[in-house]
Amino acid sequence: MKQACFYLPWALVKDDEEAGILCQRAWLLFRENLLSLDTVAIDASRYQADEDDVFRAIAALEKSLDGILETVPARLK
Amino acid sequence: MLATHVVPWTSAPRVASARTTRAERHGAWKRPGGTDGWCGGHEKARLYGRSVTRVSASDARGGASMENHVQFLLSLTRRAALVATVSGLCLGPALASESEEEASPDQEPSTSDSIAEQPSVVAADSTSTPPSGSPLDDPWEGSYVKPALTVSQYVEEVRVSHAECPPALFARNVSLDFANTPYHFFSPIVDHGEPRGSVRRAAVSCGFHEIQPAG
Repeated sequence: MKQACFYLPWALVKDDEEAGILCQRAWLLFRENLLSLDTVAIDASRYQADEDDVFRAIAALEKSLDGILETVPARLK
Repeated sequence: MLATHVVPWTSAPRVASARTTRAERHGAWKRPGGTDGWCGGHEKARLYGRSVTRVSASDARGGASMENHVQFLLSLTRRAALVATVSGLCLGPALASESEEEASPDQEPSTSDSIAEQPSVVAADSTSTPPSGSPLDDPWEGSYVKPALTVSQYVEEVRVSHAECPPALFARNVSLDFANTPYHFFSPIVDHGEPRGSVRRAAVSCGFHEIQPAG
């Protein structure tokens, strides 16, 4: 899924440039949230983060993933 | 009145010859840009050399006439115009790019032909400008990527992968052979040996047995 999200803006920009740019920004946010989830999970394994922090990170990751899919125009889905 | 005519005749050749000598001694004019950062240093040396030659020839004739003085002033003006032109040619693109960046920092290209060139342009800008700190400022940072699939195929791949995600959050890293493992196995989500709240419910909903803590 991460690989598909990475390539999606580049495939999209050929057909719709503005949508590709928005998709690329959404991908960067997704990647940032993915790194945040990784960090929080590691902290949680050391009892340095609460489980709610982990779930907030997961929710943010899910939201950013939805953001990636929302940037794709309906005619290209 | 005569002194004002004599001053440029006596001072200009000295300065010009001194600069020519320095340029020849250091060889700065051989490199584009020169050591003093003056773009087109060889042009400067050539201009100074020409003025020295012209003034020396007129000096040899021994006449400090008004006509020669006017010619010298004209050569100075021409030289200034050439210097301004060369400086403008050197600094023009840089100033133009700066003004474009200031005018539209987030402006994206509007033609599809410029899409392929965009990553290289962004890469050049990222090397010349200091990083701003946020990756969202430059969405095309990095090299150009050639996707192998179409948009619809990538969207489908994301959807299929996403559909597997909720149970996979707990079950993917632990194979089904560990289905009977109590959720205490997941030490990262256990607080002081007792899972709480949503983690507990999620673990139970994924099929893990709930056991009562000892004691």
